Amino acid sequence: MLTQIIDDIKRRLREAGVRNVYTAFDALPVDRKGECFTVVGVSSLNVEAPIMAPLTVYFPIRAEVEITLLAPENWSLEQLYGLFCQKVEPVLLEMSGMTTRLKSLALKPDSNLHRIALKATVSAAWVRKVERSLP
Amino acid sequence: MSTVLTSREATPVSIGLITLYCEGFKAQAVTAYHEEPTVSGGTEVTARLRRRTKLTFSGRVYGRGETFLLAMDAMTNTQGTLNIDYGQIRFTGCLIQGFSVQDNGQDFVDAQVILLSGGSAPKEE
Repeated sequence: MLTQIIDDIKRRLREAGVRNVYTAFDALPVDRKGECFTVVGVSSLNVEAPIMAPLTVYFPIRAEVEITLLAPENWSLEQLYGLFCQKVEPVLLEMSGMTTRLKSLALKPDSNLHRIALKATVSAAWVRKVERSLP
Repeated sequence: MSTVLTSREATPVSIGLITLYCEGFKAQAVTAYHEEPTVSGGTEVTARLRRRTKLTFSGRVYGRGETFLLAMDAMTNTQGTLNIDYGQIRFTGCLIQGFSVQDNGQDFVDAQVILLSGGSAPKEE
């Protein structure tokens, strides 16, 4: 469930031309991830009670997906935000609707990685369908 | 102290041609009494009316609930009665008093059906 949504967003970003996209589970060292890179992760996941139907069970799922764009400390915030608006934001806006939408943006320095980071939080909703076996 | 995990499933209820998986159920019954004043200033019950038991079935339907809405709309316009099985109880001679479908902008709709039952008995296997 968790990896499906992360991989889906990672694929969308790559198809939109965003380079160096990694998942939060990727163990590759930072110095090999490229000068500027993007990390996709999930901060929370909530599965609602299943909705039953004669042949299918539907599990409504809601998650907070974090897409973090990291750039070297010598980049200006304007450069970072420009890259976000040009490459990442169109992908997020294309997914946006009543159930899935861009929720917040936060800019902060990451002293551990010596980067500046722009974190976009997306409130994502989807439904997992499971076929039922007939009695 | 012991901990027991519970996993109750929604109860399927057939209402005419459709099946609603009920996540909530409520039965309400009232008796109405007619009172007359007595010469001494008190009251006397002169008539008693046991109203039909009101059954409220509620649940969620995946999608926008078009099939459910159309079926319920058609059934509400008919005069016939229905027999409804809920778990191990059979409600007979049920009349549809009303229904509601509420879309809150999610991937499912909330549905509710209100019936007036003519009687109830344990369901025969």
